Amino acid sequence: MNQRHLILVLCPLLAVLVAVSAFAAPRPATLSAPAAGDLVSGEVVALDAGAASGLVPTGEVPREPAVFTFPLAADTVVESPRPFAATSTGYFVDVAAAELRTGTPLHLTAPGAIVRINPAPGAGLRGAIDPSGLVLVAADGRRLAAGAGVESLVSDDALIAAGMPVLAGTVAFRVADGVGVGTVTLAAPSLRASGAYQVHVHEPASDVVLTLRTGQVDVFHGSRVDVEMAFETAGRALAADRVEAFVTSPAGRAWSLGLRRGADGLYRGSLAIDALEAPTPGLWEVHVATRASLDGLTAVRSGRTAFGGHLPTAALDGTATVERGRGGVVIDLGVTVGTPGRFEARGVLYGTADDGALVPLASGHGADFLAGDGTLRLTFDAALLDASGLRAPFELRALQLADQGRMGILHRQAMGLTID
Amino acid sequence: MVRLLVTVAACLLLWTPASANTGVAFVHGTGNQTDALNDYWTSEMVNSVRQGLPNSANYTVINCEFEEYMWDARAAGCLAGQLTSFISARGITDLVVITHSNGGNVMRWILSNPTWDSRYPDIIAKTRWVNALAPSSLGTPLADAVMSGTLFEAAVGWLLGYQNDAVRMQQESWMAYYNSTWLYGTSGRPALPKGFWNVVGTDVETAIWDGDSYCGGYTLNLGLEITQAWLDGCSDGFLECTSQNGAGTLWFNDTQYTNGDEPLSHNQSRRKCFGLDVILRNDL
Repeated sequence: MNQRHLILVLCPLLAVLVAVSAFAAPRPATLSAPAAGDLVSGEVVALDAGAASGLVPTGEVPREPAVFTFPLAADTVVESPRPFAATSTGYFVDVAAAELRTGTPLHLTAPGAIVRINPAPGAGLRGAIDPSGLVLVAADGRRLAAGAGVESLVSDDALIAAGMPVLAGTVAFRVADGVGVGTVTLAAPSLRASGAYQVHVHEPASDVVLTLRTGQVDVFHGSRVDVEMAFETAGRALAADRVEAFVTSPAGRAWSLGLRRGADGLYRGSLAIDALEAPTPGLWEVHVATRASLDGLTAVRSGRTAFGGHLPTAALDGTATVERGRGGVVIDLGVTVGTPGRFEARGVLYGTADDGALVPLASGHGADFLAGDGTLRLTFDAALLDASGLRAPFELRALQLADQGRMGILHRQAMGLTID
Repeated sequence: MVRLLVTVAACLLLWTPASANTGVAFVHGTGNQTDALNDYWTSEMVNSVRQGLPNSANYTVINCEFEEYMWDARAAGCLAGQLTSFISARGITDLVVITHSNGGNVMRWILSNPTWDSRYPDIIAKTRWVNALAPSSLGTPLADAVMSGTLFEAAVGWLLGYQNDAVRMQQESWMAYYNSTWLYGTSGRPALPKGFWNVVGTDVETAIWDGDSYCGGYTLNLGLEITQAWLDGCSDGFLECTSQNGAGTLWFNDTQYTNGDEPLSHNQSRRKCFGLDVILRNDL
């Protein structure tokens, strides 16, 4: 019996410990005051009937209430979400076929760059490049024979088979070390197609790194997303000659974003998001392109990161009722609804151990369709409480409210409720 | 009271008595499949694994549209439908789910969002555990690479339709977001309600003189040599090891158990290569 089977065998013990008892009378309770880092909306929005249909038409969202609870190990570590730091050691440029025929610059800061060329979406194989005809001119002016300086050349079918779903007509290769760094010219003299291409340069060995992060994981309509960009080489901040940045919504709208360099060398900016748009699944993104001079080289980078943008269609109203007794703990959370939908509350119940420490006990979920203000229920049964060996006081942490139909995160609170 | 009994019943179903009716489901990765048995897994892989079942007919090969976002009705909804049908038709009480790549994310969506769909709780209850072969739990830099587009044209169309939504979703920043909000099992998040055991591919061998490169198809592996450049030193050619082990629990790194200590490239971890099929078979 290995560790995995042992875990399975222990589970039935929970069932043996079940004791069914009546709950004590419900008591009103109040959620803890939100703290720094929590996500709390100011007001809920009432969308008109058309917009209210959301990502999933209201008629298709399940109407039945649902609850689900499962135990957590006592050593579970639950943390508040933190924004992701996206890094980039590459860039891309748009190149017209005519320029690609005569030569387009590749700004290389380290050996071993991977270059990927693809025709514009939709061009398909008509725009395919003959990889054997690619010509490189080194930064020192050496013109290499066609195909020379190009290693590990692969085409679209090989990349797709490897799990990289590139566009039809894509070719990729590694720049041989002998080509050197600096501004290398790439040409495809035999190219006969017209139209646009993209040239992507990825420098896995370069010290020049773009790091991009937002200040928030989730942002409500009308609130600001803060953006921070670090443009560094080996930890030393670079002064960009040019920075272009914009924010896109899931529906494809875009807003220009100004980034300014601070005394610490980081670039920062912010933008109030406008999330009133045709409901579209997916995330908001920040896109940045920048370049700087570096010891006689040109360092170019582009990058992208994501965050959630939401319409606050509902909110926790801060009230709750708690039933606690030998039957377990049942929590009804008050919800203010601006736009009807199916909402879910989830949270982690902590209990008190013999040494007085609060440790995770179970993860509780409750969902329902709410046409107006209502409640969502989290249930933590006696079986779970007994099996955990934990006792009161309990705390409900990692509390989250979501709009399931529109994929909206509407509330997040690290410390939700204390239950004596 | 009903809710209490439902929770207890779900726990009781975790128990695997001698009379349990064990089944296995094969869940493919990114892509729209209509014949995943032959086009994704190969029948020799599936037929070998299912020999570990008391009743070798208790298996299903999922065919869904995993070019969609994981929560989409054509992805998780389709998976839930096919698993529910399989459980019902075969009377399965003990389900082992074998996922590959993005299939792990779709299954993790079901495990993390039990109130989303009325079919999810029973699937969770019946699931013994998930054996996640090279899951893309933290996304992959390759998805970021292929999603990069022109700054301004992105705003007028390239952003929409340049790639399928499953690729878009597997960008690292996107998976970081979904892991921190809708999904369980990653660091700092509640665990999943059922075990999610990772098989991690740690390297790629593409040498033309090495017969091992041919398992799973040498031509399928040619591109892996260049895609490695986007990845760190430990990867299967598509996913970094950190992503493959980013949710759930490590079962094993490929070379720990494979025949000849061979690594499993991303394509090989869904094929009958280096005894992987036997390892999975013996786990049933």
